[in-house]
Amino acid sequence: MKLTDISPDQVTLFKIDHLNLTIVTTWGLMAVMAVGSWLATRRLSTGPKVSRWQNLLEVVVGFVRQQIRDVTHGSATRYLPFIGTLFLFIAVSNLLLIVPGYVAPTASLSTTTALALCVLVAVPIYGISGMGLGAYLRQYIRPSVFMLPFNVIGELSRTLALAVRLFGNVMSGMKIGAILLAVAPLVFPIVMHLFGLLTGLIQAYIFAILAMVYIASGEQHNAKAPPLPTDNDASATEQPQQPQQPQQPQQPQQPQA
Amino acid sequence: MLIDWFTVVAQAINFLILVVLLKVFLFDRVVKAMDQRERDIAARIDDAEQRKRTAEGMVTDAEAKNRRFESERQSMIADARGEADRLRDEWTREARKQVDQLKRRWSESVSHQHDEFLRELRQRVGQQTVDIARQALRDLADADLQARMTETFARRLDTLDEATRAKIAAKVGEASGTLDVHTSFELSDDQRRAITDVVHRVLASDRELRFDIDDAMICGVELRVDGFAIGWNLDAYLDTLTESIGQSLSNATETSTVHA
Repeated sequence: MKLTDISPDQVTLFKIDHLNLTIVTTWGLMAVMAVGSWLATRRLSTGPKVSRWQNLLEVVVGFVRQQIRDVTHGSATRYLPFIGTLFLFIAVSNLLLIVPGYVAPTASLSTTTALALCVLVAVPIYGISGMGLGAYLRQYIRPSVFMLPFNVIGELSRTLALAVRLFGNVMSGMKIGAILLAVAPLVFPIVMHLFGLLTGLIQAYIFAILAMVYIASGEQHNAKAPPLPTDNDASATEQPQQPQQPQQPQQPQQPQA
Repeated sequence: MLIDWFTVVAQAINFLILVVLLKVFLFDRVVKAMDQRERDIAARIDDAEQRKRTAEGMVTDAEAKNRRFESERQSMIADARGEADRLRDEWTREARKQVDQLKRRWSESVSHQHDEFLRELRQRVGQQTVDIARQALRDLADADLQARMTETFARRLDTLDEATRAKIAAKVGEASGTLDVHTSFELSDDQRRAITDVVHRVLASDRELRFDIDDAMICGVELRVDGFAIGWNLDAYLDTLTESIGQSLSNATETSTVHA
């Protein structure tokens, strides 16, 4: 097995160095998602009757907002673009596996590493913007300064885990599908493809939820952290922000991949 | 190596660009539309609540108006009944008053006709009686009624009891002027002279007598002195007759009135 069979990064296009299949596929996905969003949101209705596409988009966006609210117990506005884009990019990238010849960018460790690094950078950005630089940095020396290296290692390890988990699942799913296609070429690969689609959606959900959990835990470590801004929507008003636990922040259960 | 750091950087940049693109073209628009819809729904709910409260207020007002109208209607009905009772009583009293007036007029008319009838009856009966008596006396006794009446008047004056005679004499003495002698017929000179002689002798007075014919007197001779009169005529008989007939008519009238 060659390296090009494992990672699309090694497949160069147009004989241009570094212009590999992963980047080009990502551009295509970006174009599809951006143009599709633009087309679907050109004429949004605010009345009771909406189009099918708008209904689909509102369901997806509402689902992501609700998941963010469940994690943060507060506003979803600040996190929606980042978390939503993570979920949609990974989900669309994985769902297009049904297209023959398509290689998902998420099957590239470089892509998943880039996404994990984005999460790694987003955690301190959200944390500092939410509660200040000092308060954010102090959480690395809690409960004592001796925990600093462990906290730093924890940050790095969970970033690595994010990247490897997504890469391993998608890449292995593709390879298993290819292997099964060679062994049982008729019905079984179709079932595995359907299973791969489900796995891809679950991976997108896991990646986005973990990213949100990391960001939320980074903000909730500080006891003096200001309350998160709340949405003016119905769910936020019906479920007021709960008082934050200074020493024992509410940590959602991390899904096991 | 599975990680191409150029690709990592490129993918990170690509992802950040995608974040911006989706934020602009997807999330902001969809969230804005959803929030706007929620605000519209909330506004509609508020508007519906407001309309509901307004409708409830209108229903309350309408019920209060209905109760007020019902109360006013009852009051108006009671007033109308009171007014109707008052008018009925008033009209009843008025009708009874008119009936009483008609009854009284009818009674007056009946009484007037009664009196007129009796007066006419008295006059005719008296006249007929005199005519019959005169004719009977002439035919059966060859006597003149006027002459017999004059003689009877003179004889009765002669036979007056003393008290009556003195009373008349006193009245004559007090009176001034002539003494009036009223008759129902024209007296002859002899008859006038005979009456004058009797009066002068009985009353011991030489006062002059004036003889008048009284149309109201049916039959008789009467001496009148200053409101006092003495004489003899048919009035007493006719009074008895008219009283008897009048009593009979009154009884018949009362009977018919009771039956009516």
